[in-house]
Amino acid sequence: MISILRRGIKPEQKKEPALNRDIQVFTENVAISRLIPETKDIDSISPEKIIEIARIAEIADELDGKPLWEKLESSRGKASGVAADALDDEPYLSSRLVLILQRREDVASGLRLCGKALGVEADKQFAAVFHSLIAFSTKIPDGEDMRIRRLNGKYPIDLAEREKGERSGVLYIGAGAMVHLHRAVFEMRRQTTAFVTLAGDCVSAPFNAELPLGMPLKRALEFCGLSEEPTYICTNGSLTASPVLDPESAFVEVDTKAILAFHRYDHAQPAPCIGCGRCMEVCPQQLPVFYLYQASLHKQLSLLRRMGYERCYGCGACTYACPSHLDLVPMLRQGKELVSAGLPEDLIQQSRETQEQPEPAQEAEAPEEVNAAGTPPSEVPEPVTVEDVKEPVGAVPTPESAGGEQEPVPAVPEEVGGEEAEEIAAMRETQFGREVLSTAENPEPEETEQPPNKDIDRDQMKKRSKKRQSEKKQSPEKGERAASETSPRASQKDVESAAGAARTRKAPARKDAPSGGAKATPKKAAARPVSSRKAAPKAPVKRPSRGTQAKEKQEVKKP
Amino acid sequence: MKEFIPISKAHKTPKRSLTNRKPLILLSKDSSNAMMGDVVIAMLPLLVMACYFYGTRPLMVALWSVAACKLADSVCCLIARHKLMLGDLSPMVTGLVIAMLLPASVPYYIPVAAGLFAILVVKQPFGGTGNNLFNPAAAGFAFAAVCWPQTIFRYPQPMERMEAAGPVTVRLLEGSAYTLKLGGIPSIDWQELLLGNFAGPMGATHILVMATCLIFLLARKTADWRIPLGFISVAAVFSFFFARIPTSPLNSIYFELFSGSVIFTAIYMVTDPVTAPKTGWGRFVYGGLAGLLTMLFRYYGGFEQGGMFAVLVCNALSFSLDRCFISAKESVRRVYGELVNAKK
Repeated sequence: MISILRRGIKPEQKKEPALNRDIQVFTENVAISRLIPETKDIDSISPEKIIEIARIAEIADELDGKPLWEKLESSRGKASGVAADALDDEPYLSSRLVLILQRREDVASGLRLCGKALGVEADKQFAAVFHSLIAFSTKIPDGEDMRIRRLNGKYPIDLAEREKGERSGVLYIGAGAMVHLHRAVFEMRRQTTAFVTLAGDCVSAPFNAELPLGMPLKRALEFCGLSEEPTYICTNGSLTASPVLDPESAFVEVDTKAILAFHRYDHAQPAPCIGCGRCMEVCPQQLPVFYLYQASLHKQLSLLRRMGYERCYGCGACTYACPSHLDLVPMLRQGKELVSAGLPEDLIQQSRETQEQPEPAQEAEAPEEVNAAGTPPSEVPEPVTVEDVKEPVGAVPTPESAGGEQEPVPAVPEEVGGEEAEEIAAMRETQFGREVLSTAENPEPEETEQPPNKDIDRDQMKKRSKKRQSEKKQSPEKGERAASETSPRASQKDVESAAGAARTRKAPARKDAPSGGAKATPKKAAARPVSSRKAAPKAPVKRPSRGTQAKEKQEVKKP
Repeated sequence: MKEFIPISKAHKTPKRSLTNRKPLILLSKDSSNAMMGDVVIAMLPLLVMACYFYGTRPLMVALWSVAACKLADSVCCLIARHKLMLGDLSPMVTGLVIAMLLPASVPYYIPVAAGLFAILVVKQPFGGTGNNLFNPAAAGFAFAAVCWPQTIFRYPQPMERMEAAGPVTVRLLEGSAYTLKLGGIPSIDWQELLLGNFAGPMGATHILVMATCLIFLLARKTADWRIPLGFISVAAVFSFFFARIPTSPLNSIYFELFSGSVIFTAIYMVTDPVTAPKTGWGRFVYGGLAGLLTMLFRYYGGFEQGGMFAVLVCNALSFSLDRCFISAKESVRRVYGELVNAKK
């Protein structure tokens, strides 16, 4: 009854094509018999040993990407129940449900092992599936080996149940991690694969596969036989999706649950918001999404704080329900980041003054900015790069400054070479750089129409990813390396940290963000004139305030 | 079947690249323009009824009003360098609402002036579609009511045909709302009151047709049920307790709601999503407040109808209403959380 009253959406599931095929195994988990002691029986193994094996086998929970042994260790003795999470409630996603259907013994055995490690009785161990036509009790019976709990209701059921579980002490662990745990304990193999759904409307034969970790998404898509070249690729479900712009430098990771490719021409063209309030009707957390969106669009931090922004867990129901096709989730995420960075109020005031931007064009541009917003702070380089950019750009106009105030300015960005563009791209990633650039680009509404700009963005993305690759000091054949027996523990971590664009996991690096933002504030003040000068050629109108700013800066430099 | 591309042209075919915009297959099948289209569809039966009662002239009134709104909107979009969307139906809705509230005998310059006022003064200066603070249709009709009260509150008798061109020669009568205002009881049969067969605004008298359209709008989720419910219930309760004509209270409700444009206001004007509050309780209170103000304006105002002024006043309050309810919700949540923590 409560589940009927809960808010949410009911999207079409579209899982059947992938569910009806067998799991295709590209590589099996690698055996490490020397490290893991042999066991045959669940009774002969102690809970500490299970956790130790999970640690040696490097099993990660695919729900949030955290190591399984940490999860087991932290809630050992405290958990009131344990659940194998097979709630694939997003459309197309079926990589965990298929394990319940086709690898039932492994999941059941892994669940028993988890229950033993946590000290949970057998009647508190269950597998949770989303109640739908596929998960009928004839197909997934509630058997002796494993109890099945069918949850029905509206869409964000997975995230909602996990949050409810945190309060009531039920630990949700992905069904994939259960299978890996079973293999580690009884077959002495470590986790080098992930269960992934390959689907989408340009995948001619969708299926579930066991893919090696570190495999580039492009390779994975080549395997599944694309009927057409995709225009939109996303990982991890279709509603909470993070778009992949460069499938060559994005990899299969421990928390990759699906790779979806679409070749549609009708991509969402955001229309002006008409304030219908549907986003607020469907929000499972009952957040005032409309006002949160407006507040993060206009960078009103005090409003964001007052309206409980932190309760949003990014289920994407509002994006699905929006009739104007606005991508609300990245905007809300950006608002979260803004609040956690804690920009001083006066800087926000200044940036608002520079905005002379009509409303709808800004909204149309919002998804472009969102792209930059999607990158997690863990990949953000140190704010030192902001200063690096500042010196070459700032040094050029000084000799010509005697002639005119505004004339030398337009020439500067043209002289910016490849390296500097890269640095600007890096600057773009930092909190403040993004904010100022977005406000500086805003005065030109036609900009959204220009294709070359997008190309530049894409180039920057590519450069950034290349940079990231080179930083990793790893050989390019990550797939083969991961498959080999000698792959060190560090390699998997690198893979994890490499391409996790816009993950929702609570990595420790994310918690550091506020302190990093606070440190960066003096540099932000220094970087302001630079970015505004960079934007000067785009703005046709000469602004006296910027001129005076530049003047002041030059006067400071002269002595 | 794949298209054959000759080798000489192969290098020129544009390579499709990846985007970060979701394909529509992953999004809602509705669009905001389709919501406006729903309102237009829900207003077409009223136009048909008007043409049935008054001939071809209502069609021309609607055309002039819609054309003025659409033209003004497009020109403003060009001037403000917004993206020009010719398929945008929201100015059409504004034009139709203005036309439906006018009598069929109105001279054509009045719908044009009202439409231009609605778009040029009330809608576009605030940023166009989705950003206006006040309902442009209500403001346009209020403008016409203030400027030409003698013309727009005198109605022709139904079934007296009027030609699209040429002077209006039919007899003009006072509306039934005016009779109520003077303290008299309109002498209209209840069937004819429900069907709209009495002298009144050309599209706002057909109660049964409008009720059907309301069901359509509610089923399509274009209109929120809370707003019309609050509006009509408060107006009914008010006329039940404060009857201004010497009849039974139920008769008072009957005449107050069904004469004039109270029901039309409740269905088409208050439910405008742009200017209404977004929270559920805010919408309920907003509708109720608009109903109360409408009745007060009808009782004590200078005009026989008050819906447009009530809508404009409530538009100004909608943001505050939302803010009240959101902060109340947040503080309740905070207090509850503290209580739970204190128990632990």
